[in-house]
Amino acid sequence: MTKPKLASVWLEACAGCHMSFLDIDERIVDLLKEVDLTSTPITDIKEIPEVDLGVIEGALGNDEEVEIAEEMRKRCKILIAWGDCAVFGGINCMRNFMKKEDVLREAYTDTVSTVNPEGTIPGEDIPHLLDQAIPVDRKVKVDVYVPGCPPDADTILYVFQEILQGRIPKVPVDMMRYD
Amino acid sequence: MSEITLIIDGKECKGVSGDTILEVALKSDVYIPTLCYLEGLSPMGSCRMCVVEVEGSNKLLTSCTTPAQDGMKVHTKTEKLYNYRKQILELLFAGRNHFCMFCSQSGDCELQTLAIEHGMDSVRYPFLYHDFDNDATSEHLQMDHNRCILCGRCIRVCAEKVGAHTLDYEKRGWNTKVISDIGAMLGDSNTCVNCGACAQVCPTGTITIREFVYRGRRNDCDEVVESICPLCSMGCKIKGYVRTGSLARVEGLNVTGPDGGQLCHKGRWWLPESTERKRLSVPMIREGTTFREASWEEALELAAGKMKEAHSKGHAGAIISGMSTDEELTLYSDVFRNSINMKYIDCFNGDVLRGFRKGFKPFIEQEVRPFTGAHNILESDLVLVIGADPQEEAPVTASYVRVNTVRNGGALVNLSSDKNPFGDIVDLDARISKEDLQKCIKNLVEAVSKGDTDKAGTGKMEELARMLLQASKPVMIIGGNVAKDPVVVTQVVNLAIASEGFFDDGLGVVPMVRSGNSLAALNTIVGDEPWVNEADIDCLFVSSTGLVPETPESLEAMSMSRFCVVQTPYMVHPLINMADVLLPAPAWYEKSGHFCTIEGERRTLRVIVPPKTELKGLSEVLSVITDKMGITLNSSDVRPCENIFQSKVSPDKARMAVLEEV
Amino acid sequence: MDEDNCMVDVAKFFLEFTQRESCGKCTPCREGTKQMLLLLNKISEGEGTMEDLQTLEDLANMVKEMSLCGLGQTAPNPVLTTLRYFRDEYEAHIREKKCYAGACTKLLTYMIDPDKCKRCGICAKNCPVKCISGDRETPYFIDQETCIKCGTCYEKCPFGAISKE
Repeated sequence: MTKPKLASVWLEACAGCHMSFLDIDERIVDLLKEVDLTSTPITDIKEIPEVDLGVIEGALGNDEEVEIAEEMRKRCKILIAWGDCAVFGGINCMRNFMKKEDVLREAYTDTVSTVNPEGTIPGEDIPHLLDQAIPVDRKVKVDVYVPGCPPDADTILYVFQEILQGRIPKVPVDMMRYD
Repeated sequence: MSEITLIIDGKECKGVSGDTILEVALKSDVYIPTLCYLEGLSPMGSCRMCVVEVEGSNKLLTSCTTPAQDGMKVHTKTEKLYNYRKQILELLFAGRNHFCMFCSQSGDCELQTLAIEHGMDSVRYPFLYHDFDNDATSEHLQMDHNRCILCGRCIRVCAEKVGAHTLDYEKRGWNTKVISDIGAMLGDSNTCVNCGACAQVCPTGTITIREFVYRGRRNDCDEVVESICPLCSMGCKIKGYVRTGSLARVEGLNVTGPDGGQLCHKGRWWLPESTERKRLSVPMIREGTTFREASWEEALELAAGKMKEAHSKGHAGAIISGMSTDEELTLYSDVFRNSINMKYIDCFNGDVLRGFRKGFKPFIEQEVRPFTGAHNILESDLVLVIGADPQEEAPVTASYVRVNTVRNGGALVNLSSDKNPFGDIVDLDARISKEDLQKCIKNLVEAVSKGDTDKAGTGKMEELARMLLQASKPVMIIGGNVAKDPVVVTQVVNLAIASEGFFDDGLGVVPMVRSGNSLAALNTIVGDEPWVNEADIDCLFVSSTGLVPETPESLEAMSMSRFCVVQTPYMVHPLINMADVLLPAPAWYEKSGHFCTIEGERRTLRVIVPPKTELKGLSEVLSVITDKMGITLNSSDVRPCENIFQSKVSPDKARMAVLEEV
Repeated sequence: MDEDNCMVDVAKFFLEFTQRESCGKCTPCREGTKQMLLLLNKISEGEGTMEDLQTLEDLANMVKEMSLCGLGQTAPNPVLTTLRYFRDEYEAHIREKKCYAGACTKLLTYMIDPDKCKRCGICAKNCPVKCISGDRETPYFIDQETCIKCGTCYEKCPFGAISKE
């Protein structure tokens, strides 16, 4: 029987959740005996194939990220949201307390070290900011939530092991954190 | 109080009639989640987390407000309740800014703990991202309204325990906000006494204490030690949190006592700050304008030599801090009084303590305790403040006065030569100069004991006499400054007797004796006569805790004396400027002992963190000095708390006394 | 009340009142009625999903049972009863994105009947987003993408050539 495949993406994120995943250290050797890593930021494969397990780290901040999330949802049987950004929106939501126009203006014209005399706000060849940074489940259905900033390596491993045994887990109370 | 029995989650739980369901549950260790409830504060029932199902009732009831009835069958953890509580938690998270990853309270937050307990791994409601403001105007506190769950604990503790009622709600519905006064920022408030009680009770990271946000997080600390604050004679109980071997956070105890676990602006901020001062770790001897390090042997040899020489001419003196423990005071008394027979021995603020000692003497001789525990102010119907500023001298006493006046409906009268420390809440405010005070009180005593208000004088004094006649349990607060005149002290106690201020533990008087263990110092080291500014001293021994500035008289005495041995924990100025020999002493958090407090209890100071360097204990230092002076150590039978706590005769049998003016 | 009343709109009307009047002391009413209102707005603007309907119902039940006073305990009643007796109207708003009563403006489509149009241009002149095009020869036409469904053209047309559904 072929091993289940896993793909992961990081969207509006700091990559901390993927780093925390790698904190499972030598246990990754045993994990890889049971799971095939396909396209992930770690393996640096760009095309997302049809997979059994999909992981999204990070919130949705622009329309490209929404597209990738929808793509992931289409190709994954089980979708996992890693980290506070994917589950709650996280730090990215700090910009939601202001209007999108103010955020763009602050970033591209008002900061002291920016040289932008015409006050150009780029918007054509780059992804467009959403009005608000949102958690992943506002656009696509998420099956498993793993909060934490980042979640512990043990928690991530526990979630994988439960899924590999055929269950859809919820993070147990003694492993749950929001920071 | 009849006993009642409830069945909570199938378990038999006992309580007394008058308990709420939650109180019965807590007595039997049954856990019910709560947010707005805090033991000691009036229940509010607004967070709806403690809601339970009671058989026979079709409504869900909040266990914190519902009185328990005998035979109730209660279910606290059904699936329906679990789901409803989870929904409420998700609503709270979605409503304001509850992102844990950049909050200093994370890990020590009751909202977070409850959400994790209820397995909240996502929030199904849209986050509202409203921008409430972040009030950083206060010196020590920060109030971030984005994290507020409107539980009202801060409002209730400030109103019910501190009596200031600075905080309350503004607007309504979803726009509700907790504000200070009538819309002021916390730092601009006129009523806030900066005690930090609101921060202590806040369940989330709304009100945080700047000094503690990083190193002092409760869950990061290694241990908690219960001790007391040594600064004033209230001896408020504290919890010292230790992290990696240092004191990282200081908090009051729980809210259930009469003082509500509050600390004052001195205890909460000065105590942790004191851990950062420069320590004196080895003995030092003056060389010109600086000091050089010396061995204990050399330093004690020098000190003892100078003391011996000075004492042989009768020119030796000692000034001891009133924040020393009972055990230390006993040692000082044994050594300086009983063994060396030094004439010039005193305490900082000796004048105040002498006044109280002389003034109380006639009553102590009757074996009546001439004062009552400060918390009895809350049982009084009239508080008379005489030449005192409790907010400065013993701040939690001021809280009692405010709560008693504003919430309990007691009357408040202020007699002072220059100010009214309580502002608008006083019922009667009169200015009496220092010279006239003695006569004024004497007249009041006469008026009250004869039931003839005319004898008190006219106008305000007549009014006061009338109020005293009507009062059934008056309390008089005597300020430190006016206590320097012992006749005033005696007359005030007489007034308490005349107006029948009788409490279980003594007469209705609260003395503002200042430092932490002044009551014990009264009995041990306070000199009989003032000498500090007059005597010719060749060698002066000074023991200071370094926590508060020394009195100007003591500093002057130090500068006038020819040689000064200073025993202190810190290198603080100007104290060490006057010293010739410096002997390191343990800081307040490094020693243990007992304090006699004006709360009417003997309380225990405990070691929170042991000393980091080799310090010699006081008995060792003093025995070396007496040895080198060639003097045998005589133990006395002085008991610092003698006459302080045992009122052998019932207070209502006290007789008025006359103290001859000296 | 008749077929021109949208039950979702009716529930929204009552909830708007109770949410505004909520005193704010207890969490279910203060936060719950606000979130319920947001959900109802979402549904009446055609953005709702079937999960939202379930969330709304669960929330309404919770607010009803957990609120401190009568306002919170009865605020969800219009929502709960309309869900019970007029669930099909909610589902139409969600699945078909249509408001059959014609009350939820965001779900309406305004269309100009080219046969009735007399090309007077009054609609185009009054349109706040200038989404109506046409001239003396061509019948006027509303660009549905830009139309904000304000209903101004419908009211202004003197010939009744504009319909809304």
